[in-house]
Amino acid sequence: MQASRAAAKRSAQQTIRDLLNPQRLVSSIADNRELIWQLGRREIKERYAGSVLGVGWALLTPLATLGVYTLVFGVIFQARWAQAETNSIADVAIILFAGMLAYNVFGETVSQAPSLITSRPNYVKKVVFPLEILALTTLLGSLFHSLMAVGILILLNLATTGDISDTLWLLPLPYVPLLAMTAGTTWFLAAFGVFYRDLGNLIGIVVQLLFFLTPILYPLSAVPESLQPFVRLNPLTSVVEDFRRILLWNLTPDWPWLALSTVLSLVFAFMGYACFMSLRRAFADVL
Amino acid sequence: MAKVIEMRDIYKSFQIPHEVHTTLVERVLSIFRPVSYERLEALRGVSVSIDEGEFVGLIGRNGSGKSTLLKLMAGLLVPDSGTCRIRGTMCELLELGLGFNPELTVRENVALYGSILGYPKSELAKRIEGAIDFADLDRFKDVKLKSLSTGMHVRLGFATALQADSDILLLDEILAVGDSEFQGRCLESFEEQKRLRKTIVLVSHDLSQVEKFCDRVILFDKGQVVDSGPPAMIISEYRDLVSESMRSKAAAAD
Repeated sequence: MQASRAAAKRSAQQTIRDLLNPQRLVSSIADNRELIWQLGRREIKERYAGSVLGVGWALLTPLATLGVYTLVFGVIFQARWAQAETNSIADVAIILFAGMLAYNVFGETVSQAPSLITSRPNYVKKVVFPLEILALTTLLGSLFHSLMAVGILILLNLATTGDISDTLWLLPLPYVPLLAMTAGTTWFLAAFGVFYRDLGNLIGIVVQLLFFLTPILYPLSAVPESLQPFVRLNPLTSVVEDFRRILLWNLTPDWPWLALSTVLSLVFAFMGYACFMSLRRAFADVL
Repeated sequence: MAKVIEMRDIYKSFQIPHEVHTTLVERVLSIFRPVSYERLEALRGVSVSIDEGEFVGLIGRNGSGKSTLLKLMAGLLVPDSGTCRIRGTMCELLELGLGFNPELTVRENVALYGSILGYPKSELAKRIEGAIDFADLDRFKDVKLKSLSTGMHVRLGFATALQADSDILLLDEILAVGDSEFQGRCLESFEEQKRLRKTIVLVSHDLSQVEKFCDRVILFDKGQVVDSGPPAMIISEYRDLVSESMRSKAAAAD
């Protein structure tokens, strides 16, 4: 019964080499799965607690964004998209929306990361708590939002094209690098955020810039050939592309890029975890 | 007898920066100035060992290192040097606040804290009821935590910690706030815990209660253990220590 607490205690006394062992992360998640689930659910509940619409906001927010995108990019800018079949206003809006919902998992979680620990001093100073799972519970909240958005997208796509993508069942695949990448970044930022409060401000800018540097509002093919390798460096690029391919275009993911970004983001996640765990012992001294 | 807590030669110090730069200009200027720290040696070579089933009180003046030691036992702080060995499961209740969320209801808070403490899933509902019942907060179980008084808050924390049914219970200043009825109930549950051979470590300034509950008392001063022994003896030693320092301060003032 005390598995999670024992794990937390154990992890407080690890050497860095120990921490780089991927098994540690896996067993930490396995030990704490019940707690992660409980806290993740609570996180969603807390966000809407006291509001009249409650979880309805989780539906309303993406719908409102979609409305704005349709207006701005479909009507005002009259953006066109090479892959789209009809290039109607609704088509373009849905394409933008597909990219955005993938990016939002990253953006939403990472924006909260620098204050993840600093906003919960009680979890550091008053109870023995497996702090590493906070990144995952926040991620669970964002995942919930993105799944709501995926639901909306599928319905809208069905309404406009009368069709559901044949490759929809492959959707979990691009989620793997997306979630790993997000978790890794969150661990890094949460750990350093305890020591450098500036990160909270910095990350707001970075998340915004990265939104425009990731091919969400434009296709990757629209980027000049010479710059494409740099855009490819961003692991979110292939994720966003795959989301569109799978959700809208009946295509399979871009396998080589998917494989590469999966491997790299998993390595990155482990590094973030190791960094977090080696710094966490100093949290209580600083907070 | 089996030792459940063994701490050997523990040193712990904190570095507290002298000035806090709040404005941007100050911050930028401070890059060129060396930062000065206040080095606070909270614990200087403390060794403590506690047997299974013992009820130990830690006393001492403010800043003598009692609470720091308790946090080290809980694993919330890491010592600078020295070893710390714990056997068995542990539950800590430090200060009043807890990891509770004021926006959630009493029941939700207990459920949250309970799952952090590792209540088994099959018993979760039963233990939540048990905790709320013990804290005598049945009437308020669907009220937001922020509406409770400080005393109720502490009662709830203690009740929740008790339900964790761990081998070692670490308590920091929890008796001071409850009313006498609740203190009576605490006394009963302490007796119960003793019968179950649980170990309790208690930090308190309420000397009469320390004397009433504890089997053994450890006296701290300036980050070191002064003495350890039967409550009555150690408490009178503590009183001497306090009055002596008051006398010397009065003498210095003259």
